[in-house]
Amino acid sequence: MTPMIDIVFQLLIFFLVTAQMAEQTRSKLNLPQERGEDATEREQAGLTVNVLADGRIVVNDAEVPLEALDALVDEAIKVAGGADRLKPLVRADRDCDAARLNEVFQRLSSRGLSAIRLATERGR
Amino acid sequence: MRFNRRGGPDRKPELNLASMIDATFLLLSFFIFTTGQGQNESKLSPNLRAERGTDAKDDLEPQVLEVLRVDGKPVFRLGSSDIASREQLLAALEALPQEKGLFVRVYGGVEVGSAATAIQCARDAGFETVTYVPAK
Repeated sequence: MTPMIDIVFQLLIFFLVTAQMAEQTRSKLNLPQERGEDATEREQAGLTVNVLADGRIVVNDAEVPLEALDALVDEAIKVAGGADRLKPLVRADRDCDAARLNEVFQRLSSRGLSAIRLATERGR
Repeated sequence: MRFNRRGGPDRKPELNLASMIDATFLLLSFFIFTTGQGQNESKLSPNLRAERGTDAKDDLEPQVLEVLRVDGKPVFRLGSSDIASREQLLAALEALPQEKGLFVRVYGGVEVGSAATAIQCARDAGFETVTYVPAK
C-alpha cells in the first residue's frame, strides 16, 4: 500500500502545482457582480481580453497596447474560421472606466465582430 | 499490494483499504475545491454595434438605454427619465415591448459595473436582443 500512497501524493502535488499555474494565467480582476445569463452550453472563447481597473489591456498574460489588439483579433478570427464564429470574452474590471471598454469594443467591432461576451462574477 | 496471509494458506487474503480510502477522499476533496473556484464566473452576451453617423438611420426607432454619469453619479437614462436604482430600471424596462430589442449606449465616465448592470437588467426584463453601443 505504501507505494500507492506515494504515487497518490505525487499526483496530488502535481495537481496542486498545475492548478496554481492555471490560476496565475487568469488575471486578477474584480469582475462586475452580476448573475449573467443561463448558458446551456459552454463556448470556447477563442480570444480573451482582460481590461484592468487602470485601463491596461492584458491578452495571454501579456500587456498589449490598444493598437496591437487588431493583429490579435485577426489571428483569432483566422483560427476560428471567420468573424461570425468568434465570440471573444472580455473580462473587464468593474471599476474600470467604460470609456476604455468602449475603445476595446470599437476595435473588436472594426474587425467585423458583432457579438461579444462580457465576463461577470456571480454575486447577486 | 500486500495481502495479509497470516493464519495459514487456508485463510482468505485480506486487503486493508483504509489508506486507499484516505487517499481517495483527499483527491475527491481536492477536485471539489478546485472545480468550485472556476464556477463563480458567468457572462453576459450582448451584440456589439459601432456608433454610426446620423445618415445611417434604422427603419425602426430603437429603444435606447443610456448609461452615463450625471452629477458624479451613474444614471440610467431611458427616454427622458433618469433612473438611479437597479430596481427602478428593471421595472421601467419590463414596461417596454421586449420584442423590439434594446440598445445600451454606454458613455465614458461610468464604471464597467454600471454597464454590466444595464445589460443584466435588460436580460432580466426579458429582452432577447440586447445590443451594446460604445459611445464615442
